[in-house]
Amino acid sequence: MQKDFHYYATYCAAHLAGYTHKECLDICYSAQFVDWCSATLLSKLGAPREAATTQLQLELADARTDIIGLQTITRIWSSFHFLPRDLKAEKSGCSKLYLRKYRLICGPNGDLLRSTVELAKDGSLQAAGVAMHVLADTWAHMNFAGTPSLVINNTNRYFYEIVGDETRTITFRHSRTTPDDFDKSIYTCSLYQSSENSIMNLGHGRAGHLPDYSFIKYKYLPAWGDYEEFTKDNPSDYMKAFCQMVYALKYLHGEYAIFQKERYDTEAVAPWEDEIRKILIKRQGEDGACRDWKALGEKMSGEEIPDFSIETYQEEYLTSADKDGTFIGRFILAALAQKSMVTNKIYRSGNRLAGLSVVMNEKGFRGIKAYIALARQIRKEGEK
Amino acid sequence: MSRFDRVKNIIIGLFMIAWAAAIVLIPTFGYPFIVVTLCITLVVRGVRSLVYYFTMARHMVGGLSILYIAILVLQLGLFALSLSDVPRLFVTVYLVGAHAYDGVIAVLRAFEEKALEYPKWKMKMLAGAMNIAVALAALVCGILIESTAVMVYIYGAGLVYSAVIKIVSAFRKTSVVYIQP
Repeated sequence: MQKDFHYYATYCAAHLAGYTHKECLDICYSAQFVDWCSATLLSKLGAPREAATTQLQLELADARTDIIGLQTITRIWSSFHFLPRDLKAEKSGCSKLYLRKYRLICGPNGDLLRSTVELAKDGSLQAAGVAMHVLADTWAHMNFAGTPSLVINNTNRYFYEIVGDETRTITFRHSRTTPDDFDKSIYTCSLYQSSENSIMNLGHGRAGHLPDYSFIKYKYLPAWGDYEEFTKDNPSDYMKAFCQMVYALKYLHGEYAIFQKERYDTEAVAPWEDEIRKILIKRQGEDGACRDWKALGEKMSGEEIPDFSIETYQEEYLTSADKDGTFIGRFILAALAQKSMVTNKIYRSGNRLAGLSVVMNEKGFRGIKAYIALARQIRKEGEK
Repeated sequence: MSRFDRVKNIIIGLFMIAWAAAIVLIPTFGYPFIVVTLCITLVVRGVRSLVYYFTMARHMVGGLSILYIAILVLQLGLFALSLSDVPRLFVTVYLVGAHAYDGVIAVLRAFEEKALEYPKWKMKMLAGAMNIAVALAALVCGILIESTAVMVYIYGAGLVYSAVIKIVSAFRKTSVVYIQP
């Protein structure tokens, strides 16, 4: 998903969940900031690099693919963009090596999604934004894993777009500068690399931006799917994602005592359903979708939604004496908490692809120093 | 990183330093050592690809291509090992390719960091420029001057650098701390 959904649609969902205009802006800014908070940006701000929620293209190209590099990549992409659906998934006749990757395949309504939303409960608005980004991406990025893996994330030429009654062959190319051609179904994807751990095999790179376009419906053969055709219906999935966001945000806002999987707030969305569907099925790029979602959000709340700017809260963080109390400071704490929780769950499932996890309550503070800030915050909350 | 991984990294790192020292300090063996190393690397890669196919890639749609690649690489490695005289071009292309790639990526990263106003972008630029200079040196020495001595030094320095990174990374704190709320 892109800015249209993570920023503007998240604003709409927060509004329908009962948040004020200012709160909606904080939530949607945080949801979109997940796609911008790289180690390079954090270094510039003097903030802990471990709190990175994304990696820039060149950061990835420069990343080492030794065990530490792979764990760093997996921690980021599995925690924020490709939340695993089932850490205990089984597939007969497969080796442990294979299963370790297979179990990181992303999908909606997994146990980790519930843990993610529950983690944000009683937390900051930034934590709610981070959780909404993760939730939305479980729908868009399903069937791909947030770790470099040829055997999971690869695709082949069998790719067809379904436009009404017509089925078109999708053509992939590797030019990053040429925009996707929606009329001719020509899209950009990453290069084929036969190395299992190549960066080119991370996430949905081999399927290009198809998972990020709300309008598209296509069928293909997932690399892990035993030659069974899978049809991905983005307009339908994006609608479910939106309704689930409204429900999750209502839970975070205190309307429900528990968060249940596979529950969608279709009732709150019903008055706007036609308008939302129109946006979702419109064949357009990110800019057009942003314009439409923005107009809808402003119509819903009657307030102006400012454009997203990466600069907005940087000065506050740089000049503040209480960095943990700033917007970016709270975002960093939310990101560290999410990464820590997901890594722990993956590690406890017997899978070390996201790295080792030390439970502080059992073994004391032994690990990456950046998490001290998180420990401090949790202690403060405990004292309160 | 587990204790086993840490110990493994340190041992491999020390072995790489010893190997680099042997290549640089025994001039008559330096170049053949590099050739043998590269050929063995190809053979090992071929074997690893075979293992990869049988443990993972056979479950993948189109996974048979991995088996073909594995056989091809293994054959190439065995063929190169059997040659009494491997052309200098083989080593030159490897050195130029590896350093030029690292250099270009580092320079592009430096531009990206500069655009994001990260103050230490010049360090990245310097590292990139050095790698590109090394690639050019390998190109000049390997093709124009036809000297193997400089290539031996470049390869040896590269090995030592990789070994140091491996050893240093073995001492890094890598565990993620989980704090139960």
